[in-house]
Amino acid sequence: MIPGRLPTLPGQLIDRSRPLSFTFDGHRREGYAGDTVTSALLAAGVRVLSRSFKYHRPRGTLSAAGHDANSFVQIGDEPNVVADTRLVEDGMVVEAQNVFGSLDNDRARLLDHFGRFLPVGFYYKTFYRPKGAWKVWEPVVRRLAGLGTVNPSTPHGYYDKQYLWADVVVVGGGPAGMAAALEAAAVDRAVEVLLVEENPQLGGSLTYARFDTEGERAARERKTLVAAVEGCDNIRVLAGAVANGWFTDHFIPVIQGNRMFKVRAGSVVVASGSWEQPLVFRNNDLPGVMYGSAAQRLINRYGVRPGGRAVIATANADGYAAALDLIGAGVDIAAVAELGPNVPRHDLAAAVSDHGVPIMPRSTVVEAEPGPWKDTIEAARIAEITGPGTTAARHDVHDCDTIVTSVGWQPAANLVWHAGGRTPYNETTSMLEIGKLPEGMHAAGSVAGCFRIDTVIEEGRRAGWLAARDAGFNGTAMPAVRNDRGETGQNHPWPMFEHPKGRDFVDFDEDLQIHDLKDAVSEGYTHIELMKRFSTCGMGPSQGRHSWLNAIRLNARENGISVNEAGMTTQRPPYTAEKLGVLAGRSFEPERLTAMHWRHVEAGARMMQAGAWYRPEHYGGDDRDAVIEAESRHVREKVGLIDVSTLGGLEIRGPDAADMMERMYTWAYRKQLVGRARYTLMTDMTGVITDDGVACRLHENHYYVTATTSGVDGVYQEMLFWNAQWRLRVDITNVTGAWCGVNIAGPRSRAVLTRLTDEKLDAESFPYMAVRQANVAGIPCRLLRVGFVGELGYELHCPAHSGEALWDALMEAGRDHNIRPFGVECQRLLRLEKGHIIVSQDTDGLTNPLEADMDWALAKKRPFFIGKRSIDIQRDNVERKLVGFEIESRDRDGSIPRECHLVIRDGDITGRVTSCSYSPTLDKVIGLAYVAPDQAEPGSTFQVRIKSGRVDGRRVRITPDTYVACRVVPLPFYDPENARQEPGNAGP
Amino acid sequence: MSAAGCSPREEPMTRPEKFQRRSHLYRVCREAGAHWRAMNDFGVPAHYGDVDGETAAAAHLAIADLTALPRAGYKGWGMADWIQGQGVSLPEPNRALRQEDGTLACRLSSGELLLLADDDQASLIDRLSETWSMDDAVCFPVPRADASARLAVTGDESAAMMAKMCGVDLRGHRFADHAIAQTSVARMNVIVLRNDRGASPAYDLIFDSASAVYLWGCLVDAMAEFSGRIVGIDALDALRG
Amino acid sequence: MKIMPCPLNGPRNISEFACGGEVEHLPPPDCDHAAWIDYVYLENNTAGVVREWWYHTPTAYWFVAERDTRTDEILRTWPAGEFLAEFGEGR
Repeated sequence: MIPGRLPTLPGQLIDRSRPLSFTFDGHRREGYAGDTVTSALLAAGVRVLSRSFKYHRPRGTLSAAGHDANSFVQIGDEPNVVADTRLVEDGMVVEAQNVFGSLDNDRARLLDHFGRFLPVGFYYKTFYRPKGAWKVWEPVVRRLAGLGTVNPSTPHGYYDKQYLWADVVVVGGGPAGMAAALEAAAVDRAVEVLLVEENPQLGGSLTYARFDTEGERAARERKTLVAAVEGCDNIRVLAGAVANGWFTDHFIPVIQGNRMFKVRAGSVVVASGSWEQPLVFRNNDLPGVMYGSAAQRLINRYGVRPGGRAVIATANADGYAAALDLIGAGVDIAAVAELGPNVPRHDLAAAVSDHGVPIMPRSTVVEAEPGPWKDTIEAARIAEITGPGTTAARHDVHDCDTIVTSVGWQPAANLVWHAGGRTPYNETTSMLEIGKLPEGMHAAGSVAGCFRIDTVIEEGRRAGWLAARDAGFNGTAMPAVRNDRGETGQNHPWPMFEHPKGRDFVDFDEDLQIHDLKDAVSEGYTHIELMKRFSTCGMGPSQGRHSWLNAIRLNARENGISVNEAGMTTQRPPYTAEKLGVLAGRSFEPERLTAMHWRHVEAGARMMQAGAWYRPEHYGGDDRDAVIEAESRHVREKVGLIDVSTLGGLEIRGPDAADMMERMYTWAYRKQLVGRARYTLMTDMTGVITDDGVACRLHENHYYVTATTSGVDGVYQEMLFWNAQWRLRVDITNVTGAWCGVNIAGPRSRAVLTRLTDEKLDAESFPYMAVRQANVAGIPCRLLRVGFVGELGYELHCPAHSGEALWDALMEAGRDHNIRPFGVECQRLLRLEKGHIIVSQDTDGLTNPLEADMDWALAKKRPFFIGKRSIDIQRDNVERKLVGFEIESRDRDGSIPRECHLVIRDGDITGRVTSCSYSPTLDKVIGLAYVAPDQAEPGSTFQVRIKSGRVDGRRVRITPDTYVACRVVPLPFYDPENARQEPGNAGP
Repeated sequence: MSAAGCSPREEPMTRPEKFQRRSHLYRVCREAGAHWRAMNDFGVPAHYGDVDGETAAAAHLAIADLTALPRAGYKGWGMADWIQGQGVSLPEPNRALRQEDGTLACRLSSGELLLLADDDQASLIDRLSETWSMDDAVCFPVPRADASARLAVTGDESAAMMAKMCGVDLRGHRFADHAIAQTSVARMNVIVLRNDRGASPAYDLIFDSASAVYLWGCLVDAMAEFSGRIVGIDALDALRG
Repeated sequence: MKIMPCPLNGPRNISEFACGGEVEHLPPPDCDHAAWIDYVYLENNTAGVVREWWYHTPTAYWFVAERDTRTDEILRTWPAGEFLAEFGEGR
């Protein structure tokens, strides 16, 4: 009899009034709302869900709970979907993964016959010689050892994140978790409890397990507990949600669909249950071999009969409970192999025996005999156990199509491990048991080694109470635990029976057999961490859920040490695979726009990002170089306008303002006149240049200081850091966003500005490097007469919300003078002609002012500024100098050095280019470069190795040995007398 | 080019570009169909053509641009002494206190105060500005009017929506009226002030004005699942009653 | 995510903060080169209880935290002024 659908039983999760249809590997299949893909396929008689990772063996459900990769399928564009847990939807298109041809007729299944040529570690051994071989083999191996297929053109999904706060978070909505939530909520109505359940419904083991011979207890408890939880105002339930990790201070990411909740808890109850563990025997991976809990899930949740005739191998009461469920579902039980020495005395075993099922003590299944197509079971061979892992030669053969095993559990203690808790192995119970828990964390239920339902609920209540107390609530007495945990012996100490012909799988995900792990140890990978990495045991999608307990037992035995001496590898978040979309979520990338932003866009600017800011690179045109050249000519010959709002701005105010300035900056500011601006240069404690700008003294006690766009936040933080210690009577305020800035520059700038202000702008009233506060177009502005681009010009700083109005007024007033906006690239060219450095372009993380030839900006007499001592120490040991250079070549395509091209002398690097450009004003290529001190004299030459060039806008490779000769020239390149500041006095 | 895009819904006399001062958000609000009113040398979105609907939305979930409303800041070692000398009642740090003229005094630290007006009657802000002088100053004006934008997030769902972008628990029972959290919202530094409008919970966000378009976009996206709306200042006034 | 108890703002996610390194005093102006280089370049990297400067970015607020680097436990925090009053000025 093939598997099929059972009549309605109470507690089942499917809704038979809502039939659904979907396709699996092209075949139309039917199911019901509430079915998982696995349960619907089994109901339809489909047992083979996938092909294994390495040998392409047919695989069916093992756990019916996704604790293995056997049920991985592709659903539409979504790869690696766990069919065991994914609910069927109408019209769903499900396909098998890692299959060549079809699932039933996978051409790669022949790999199974070559298994002895694919030993453990074969990737490392086989494909790496000769050198380069991996490049050939990699695509082949990747194609064969595959999971799902990623479709890179899948439409973007909408993923989101959300913070959530709770006093007590309970992870796991089974009997222990529900009891814990209820008790925590009862301590005080103010306790906010969050109950997180991985399945779509509450209940945990109560939705499938059996705790009594009648099979009524589970449903009854579930009904009571779920009703109580749902009736409790201060419990919030997140179902279908995975608590995927534990991070410091009880920060728990909970993923529900496309949203990640970032949960902050006061305390945590881990009631996450446990994973059933496999019995290892030959062909234990055939479809039809499954855990007792898997059979119970299929029967009690989905009304699916798991098979027609079953053999059961069990080492605990759970196997007998499963047997009763199977009998109730109409499955013939051929035999029960009891791994223990005697037939147990409990009621469940007696009830099974009453059904006339033979129970054979001290026995195990040693082999599943496959059918002709190797994807079904024909019989189970049962043998007497003679010692740990050994059996008698005589086999009893029992015809069956299903083998159900129940030999032990491993706690799903991932959150405990993430929090630094340990689970030592108890040699008496053969279980991993939770040791000392981290502060504010409690555990209850089977994860804590408790399987008896009355005790599970009592311990759950106590854990909930303790968690509420840890979250700061008192109000009720601690609930007592009256029942004991009952008999131990959930786990068989050695549920592994190696077969001479192998195919006895320990790790189903990675197709690892007993001898693979033994080989790894014998080859010298003895330590548990090495064995894991060499064999890849536990590194598959299920991360050791079904393989790790047996793997450490094997490791311990092969090494002749105890399981605790073998130890466990470190478990880290995440608990289950999480989609990259969930991690990326709704990502936040702050953007800053200046007040004139849309005016640039309207004028055709190509915008570029500078940190979070958007700035106009240049205005219009496809020929970038030509546009920048035209903009620069316009500034030099007429008048241009650039948005400099992104410049940092700081107010330094108070009686100690001058003192603060002189401690933070390298130059002298105490004697700076009110109404004047002065260059600022900042270094850090090691003497490295960190920022520059201009200080405007607006009052005896007030400096308005500009900083670079990217540097201002760091400068502000640094000033506050030092003044937190110095306690000067000075206030420092970052006003970057408060002020907009425009620089109007060019011979006609004064004429344009005169139209908009009453302030006297003539050379005498408003000289170079003066600062004024005046209205421009009715807007209160700070006017700085500075010359970054080397022409007569004014920087106008105005309140940010008036920025667009100021821009409009300047464009309007400049219309007769043919004013045009210019972009950042043009400004870079103009300042280069003027020899001004840009911090972080022409300096790097090690540049001191001596190297940058800025000795002139260092206060000599002052005993202290940040970095002074370090600069003084380095004064006699300057290893490089920043110089201006030019090259004669007019070839603008191939031979212009680029930033970071190296200065080479006699095969050694002596420096690098930091800025280089063709100057239309000077009609030559100019640049800045670091060179050795003995190469720095004007007139000396050096060689730059250029690596690539630009031809007709395309980048082309130039042979690496192309050198360009450069000649050092004095700075600035343009207008060394600064005559352009008063163009009336001296012509260009 | 500034005259282009004047939609028929706008009254020409109150185009936002007619004013010298403009919120960074005026284009966004214009796209959304704002009707404008003059305030504090700004055009402010008064409503979007449906005051009753907007008022109902504001009680559920809505955002509004309040950048035009007057505000000021004072900061420095002597702030507390000076400001109390001016008759201002000071709350504890990270709390706000309503003054007699209706101005909210928000204490950001022991030495920093932010003053917010909920309408354009800002007598305290004006008076302090006239009184303060650089000579012998022990605290200094912070240019909050231009450094900052101010948005309101109002309505019963506002805390749930804010949880999508802010790591501080702003829910009503954990974050009282006039509480302040200076924190990160959508990866930006934001002053979050609980400032209920009538019976409706509401939060004011005060943050870098250059990032107003960015944060507005984040809010519009975050409130979609709650069917939140963009509303004008009239709806907020109606809630305040 | 770790929580930092900020003296001004209360408990906050650590992502709102930046660490400014261990509290150190500027060496006296007449110190020798070695002492200066030690101050500038060498970190103590203490395994144990350290006092560090921390910066709350949204409020631009510097304060001092005492932390055990072995357990990453934060034991105590001070506003900068209170710390300096208790342990001396850092000039």
